Amino acid sequence: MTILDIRKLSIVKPDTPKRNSASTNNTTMILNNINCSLEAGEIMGIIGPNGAGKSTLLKAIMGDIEYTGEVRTHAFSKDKLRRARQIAVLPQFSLLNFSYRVSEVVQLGRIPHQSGKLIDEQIVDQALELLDISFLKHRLYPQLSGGEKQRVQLARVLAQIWREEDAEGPRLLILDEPTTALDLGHQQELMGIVKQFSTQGVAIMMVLHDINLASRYSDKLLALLCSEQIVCGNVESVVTEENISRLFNIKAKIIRHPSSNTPLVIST
Amino acid sequence: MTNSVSPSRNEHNDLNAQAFATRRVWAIGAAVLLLPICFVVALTLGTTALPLNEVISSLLGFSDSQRTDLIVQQIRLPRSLLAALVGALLGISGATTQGLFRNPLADPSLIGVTAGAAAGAAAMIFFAAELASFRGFAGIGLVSIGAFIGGAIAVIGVYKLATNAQGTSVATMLLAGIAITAVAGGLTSLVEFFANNEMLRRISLWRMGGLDGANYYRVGLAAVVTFFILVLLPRFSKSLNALLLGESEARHLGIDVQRTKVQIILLVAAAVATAVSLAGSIAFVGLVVPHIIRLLIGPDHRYLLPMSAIGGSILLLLADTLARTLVAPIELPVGLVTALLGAPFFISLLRRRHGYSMQ
Repeated sequence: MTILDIRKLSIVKPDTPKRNSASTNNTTMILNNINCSLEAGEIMGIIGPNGAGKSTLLKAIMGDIEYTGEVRTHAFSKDKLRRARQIAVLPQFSLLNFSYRVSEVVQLGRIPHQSGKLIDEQIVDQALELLDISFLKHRLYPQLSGGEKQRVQLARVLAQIWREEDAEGPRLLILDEPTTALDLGHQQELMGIVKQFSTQGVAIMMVLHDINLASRYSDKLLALLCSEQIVCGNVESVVTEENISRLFNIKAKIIRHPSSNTPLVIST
Repeated sequence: MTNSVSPSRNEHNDLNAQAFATRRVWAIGAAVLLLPICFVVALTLGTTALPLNEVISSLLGFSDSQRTDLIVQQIRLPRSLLAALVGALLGISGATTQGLFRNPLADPSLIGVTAGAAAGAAAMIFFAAELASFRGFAGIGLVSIGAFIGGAIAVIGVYKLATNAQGTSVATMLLAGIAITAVAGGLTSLVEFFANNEMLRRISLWRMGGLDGANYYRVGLAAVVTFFILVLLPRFSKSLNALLLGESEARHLGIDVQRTKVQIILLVAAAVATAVSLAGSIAFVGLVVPHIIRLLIGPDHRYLLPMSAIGGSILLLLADTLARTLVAPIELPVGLVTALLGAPFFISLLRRRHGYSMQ
């Protein structure tokens, strides 16, 4: 089932005079003519250099900023609260500086739900367990390290869409650079969790800077460069020497991952 | 996945959690007990200290001393009630403002209410001086009405400045609050410049904040406003909890952020404008009280908001008792006491903030 269908999505820079936004002069666009779709249970990785418009695309999908074109999300509820039970978002940065305890932060993910205190607490414990941070449960959030904070925020976001029965429809997880502050072991662990959620039917859309991580765990990749969509499709068609060289302006060589046989990018 | 946690560390954490939960219960219990005690203390102490049993029998209507009845029922009771109500309004507004601005150092006066109210009061003292009596409608006082109007205009101005098609920017509100505060301060100074000595003294006394104008009309008005604020603001506890994460994060948790912001701003403005117009500008209660409560029980607004109201009541009752007894028979303005005691306390908080894990 297609749960997200993006057609001709464009975003004009906010300060541009409005006289003729149809004439797509590239310098006035943040995003220009993006087309892609996402199925239930599918993992889409969004790759591209800094400033390509990856985070902006996520914001447009979540309805945080204005855009032209179409983002079809008919599968999701129109009611704000019900929608929050279906779509959870991990932001790139977290500004929380009040001295919440870790368990309280994860508990915030249960705000849209009315599943009762007992179930909420169980889910919080399970989410902490899943992200390997049960030992942080009673610590104060502002005292944690960057990577620990990121895992706490991930636990919060996962707790928001934890149970299928709460969602009453498809579930979508949007992650903006979820692995930036994580060490190698926890990056792998997080990708395992993402995979696990996708087998339960949760669709996942994530911005990743690590191409090898993205190509190993994604079903589909969307590559953005300078506000333009370079290519959107399966991993094999996106991770090519030509595409990677063009995207990141490097000399890339593609080899095969010894166990999963997915493409591995090596800069030469 | 391997878990690198030693059992002893887990145990330590569970102990922490237990201690924290216990502390929250103790703090709430202590505050609920302290409030009536402080109230009775406020009734007992003053220029003339009254015996506790006489105060209580007068409250219950059994007293045979007319003098005690007069002091307790006509002077100290309305004053203490007003102190408790105004303190509750300032405490809960402070906690809400700090949550909305995601800044533990924010204060309700940041959105311009206090300065606007001061300008309104000064203008009323200046222009209505000819109207002889300051006892306006139902004993509330023209000055109070002027202060309320001034405060309301300031908030509307700040809100309009910070709102555009994209919504209300909380950061812009802070800056607009500073600008409006400067304008209102300038207007107040202008009025003061043209005022005569008598007016000048009235204006400056009003700005120090005082509860000496307390009467049952004011208490009634404050009680009605406090009732609505205490019923309505805690409904936003969950939204405020989510807003601490950030506005877009709160939106992704299903909260109508723009509507919530507008409603919270309106309620806080009404609360602070009422408090300021009935008791003048009283510094530091709205800033310090939520701070202390947060140190005791954490930032969860479900507990923080009611506890800040109780804490504000306690603090203002104690401050007013001090104001009446420190240099008796002269009564100090209560705003002076809260500023002189609150500021050093706040400075000590700032110096120790790393121990409290504030950013």
